[in-house]
Amino acid sequence: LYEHTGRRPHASINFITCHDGFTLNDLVSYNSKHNEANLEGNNDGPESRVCLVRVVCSPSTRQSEDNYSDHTHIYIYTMGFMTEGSTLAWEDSKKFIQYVKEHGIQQFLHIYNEMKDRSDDCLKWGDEIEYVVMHLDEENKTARVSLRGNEILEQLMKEEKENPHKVEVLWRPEYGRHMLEGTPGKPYCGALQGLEQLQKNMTLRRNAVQSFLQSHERIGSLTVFPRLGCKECTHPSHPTNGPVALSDFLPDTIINPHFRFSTLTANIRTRRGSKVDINVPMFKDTNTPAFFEQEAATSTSPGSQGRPYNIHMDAMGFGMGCCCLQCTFQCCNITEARYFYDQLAVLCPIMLALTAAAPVYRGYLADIDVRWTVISQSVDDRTRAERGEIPFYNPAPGASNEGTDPVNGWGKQRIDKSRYDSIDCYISNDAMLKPEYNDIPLVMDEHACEVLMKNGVDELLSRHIAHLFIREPLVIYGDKIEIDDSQASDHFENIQSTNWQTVRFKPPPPGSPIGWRVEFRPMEIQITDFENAAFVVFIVLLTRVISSFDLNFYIPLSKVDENMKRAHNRGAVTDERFYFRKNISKDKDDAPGQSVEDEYTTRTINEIMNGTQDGFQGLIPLMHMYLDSVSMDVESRTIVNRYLSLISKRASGELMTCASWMRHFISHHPDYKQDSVVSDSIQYDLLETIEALNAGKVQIPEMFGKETVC
Amino acid sequence: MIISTGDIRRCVPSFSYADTRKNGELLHAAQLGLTRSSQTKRQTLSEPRDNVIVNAKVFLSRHANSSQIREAVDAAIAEIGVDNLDTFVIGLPQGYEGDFKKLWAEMETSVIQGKTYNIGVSDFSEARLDELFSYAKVQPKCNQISLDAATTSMLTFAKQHDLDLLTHPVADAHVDIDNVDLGSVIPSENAPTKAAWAVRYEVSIRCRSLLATKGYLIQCAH
Repeated sequence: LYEHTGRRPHASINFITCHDGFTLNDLVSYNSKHNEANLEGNNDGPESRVCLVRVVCSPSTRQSEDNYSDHTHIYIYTMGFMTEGSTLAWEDSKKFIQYVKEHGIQQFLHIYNEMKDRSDDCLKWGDEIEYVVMHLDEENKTARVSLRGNEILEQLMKEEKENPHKVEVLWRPEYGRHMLEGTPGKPYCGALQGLEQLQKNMTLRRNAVQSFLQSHERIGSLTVFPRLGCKECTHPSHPTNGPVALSDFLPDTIINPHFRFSTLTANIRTRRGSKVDINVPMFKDTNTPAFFEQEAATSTSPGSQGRPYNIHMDAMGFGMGCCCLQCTFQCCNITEARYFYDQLAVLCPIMLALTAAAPVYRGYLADIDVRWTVISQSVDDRTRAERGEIPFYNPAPGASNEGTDPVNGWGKQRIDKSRYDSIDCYISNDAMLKPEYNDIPLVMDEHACEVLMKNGVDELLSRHIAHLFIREPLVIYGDKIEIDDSQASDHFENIQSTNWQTVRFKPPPPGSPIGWRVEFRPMEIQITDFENAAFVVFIVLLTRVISSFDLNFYIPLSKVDENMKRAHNRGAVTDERFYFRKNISKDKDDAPGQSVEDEYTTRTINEIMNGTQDGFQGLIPLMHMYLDSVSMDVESRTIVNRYLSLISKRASGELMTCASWMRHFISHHPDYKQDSVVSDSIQYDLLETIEALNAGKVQIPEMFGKETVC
Repeated sequence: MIISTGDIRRCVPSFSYADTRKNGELLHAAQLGLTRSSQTKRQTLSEPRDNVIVNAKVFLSRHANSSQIREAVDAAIAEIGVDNLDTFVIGLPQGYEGDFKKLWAEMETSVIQGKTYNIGVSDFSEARLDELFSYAKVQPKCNQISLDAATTSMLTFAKQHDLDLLTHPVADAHVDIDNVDLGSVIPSENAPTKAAWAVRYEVSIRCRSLLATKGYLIQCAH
């Protein structure tokens, strides 16, 4: 290898080290020896000649980056040298796409055949809450997202490692370095007892984080951080336009240092062939100018063209930096799971509008109240050809590809939605599912569908999986490509977990005691644990009500998508009408000869939740009737009644959603200039009020009435 | 004649939650019982007995006697298709002045005979409970109350006596067996117009918190 007489074949083998104790991390971290751990003052051992290798995986901008001194995420462009936790850049991922997809299908088939007859699984459920760590400066009245989030996370997770059985809360990283995700240590069982545990566990989470916060730091369950993307929005502050996201507004350091997240960001951008292009309508107030000076620079983005009142965002961090409220529950068998998946999918737009909490982006009041479309646009990896803007790049032998683009023309077929969006097909084998309800043209991986059906999976489920598999795997771990399909499900999970839909149908992990589950994903996180607990309890109880009374919410899926659009609108909870089935009881037969169009009408959220005069019960009264029918102790019932009362009043408009209250707070703030701008001082006061609310120091009767939230 | 509804779990949405009409719930149930075909009413328990909780509550009149309790338990067990209930609750009109000791003795008999594991009362005050505890050979397992009655005092009392405090539907306050007018639901002339007692039963699946069966039995009288 040290041959100096000319290059020989073996010179292409890159010798790195044969010294024990020298890790790959050391290779890329140090330029000189560091033997301090040997306690000889770094005087032992020869000086090494290992060069620092730091190359950022960005095929379009292949430059070495040297300003990563305080970052811990580093790309290792290994070219065949695989290590634990090394992810592949897009160009290198491409050659494994087919392999991952094929084996993902095999893994699903294995799970399906092993688990399809599972039955009698108990109701177990849990919630996921995401938090933002913030840094507040009282003197200057500024607030920033704190990049110490992942340090705090590490400390929280250390306790989990040390006492895995005693742990009451589990912590996980999320996309943003300023974000934390907390879940209960063990799932809850049943829906009738111990419901007070839910909110108590949420309080435990806040308290656990508090013990690691420094004096200027706060934690909050905020769907959107209002001034994310404004100048110096992070603490510490870092320059924008980093090589991973190329964002004009967000520094790369906002991304969680774990490999997965930066790879995801860069690969989405690379695959798409351009930065993500997020645009939401700005709220037009009396003094809002049609074009802000700083917006002029971004007005060249395709999506913002021709929109005078527009908020433009250009990075995944704007979407995945939002916090959400999710809950997952186990079903008794696959049939029940498929039915709940469908039924809850219909309720997604309703719950999205009811939990609205995100009316501000990049420091501007928006004309939408919820974050869903922002996240959807923030991870949209579709190429221009997939979006229908240019033809596909299909180099046939001898054919001319003049004018087509290998990057923007990559792909096979037109895809209508981002990989983060509402579902495109119902999957239940229930008799109530009429074919007319699946009225969205379904884009599928045809080959995957064939393989699934040939191997015993019914058509509806095959189509669903084949639809998920139109998406290419974005994060591939180099050392985890060849795995045993009967023991592991990494490739299936790869595709499954990067299809972010309103509800998720979750097969059991292979060989595990966990059953078929459904995850409910549309809700915005609320500013208090009281509300978060209320909405989670509502969803869990709703599943019990659907099953106990044999309810049926089916409407054509295109109408559910229309509802999703309406749910975004400012004040949708009180002002919008949503498509909803007229007769939701399976007990009453539909009139003979009734067309599908006659099955549904439009209702307000108030009508849906609280009922109408013409005999439509409303979900909340139905919930009370369910609770009356099963033995519930008075303490649990008192708590649940408080939760249902809150939701009922939010639905009727008697109480404000968080989004409505935030608008109200902002527009009545003395520093607000009726120009849609949410300044530092306005944001600071808003966040401090929320903090005081959670500490019991102030009340917000517009949102809570007489209810105490802590 | 006993009007039985069969399993009307699916029909619950047709009931009015805030029905404050006197006997509104019972009359609606009676109507369902009379209009549903015997085929739809036939029911079998689809889950193993261990997996379910079977509860029933009997609503008695001012003239309640112990044989009615025996009839009600037997009818419920036969209707649901089980060997025993988990909890059987007795519901009496407000201000009932009859011989409760005798009624409770019959409740205890049903436990001794293995027809129900537990027995309970509804809308009992602390004073009445105290009195019951003093002579009961089989203690009540639960007291069904409205949420208004769930005072700190009651909660403490219940904990001390290992008594479960459970909720009952708001409509239970409007049940008045003495004044049930079946004439409004049974059109024919020689039909019974009054009720002697009524039973409401619920079967729920234990680990999934699901309602599996719900129904009513109404013993008619002339």
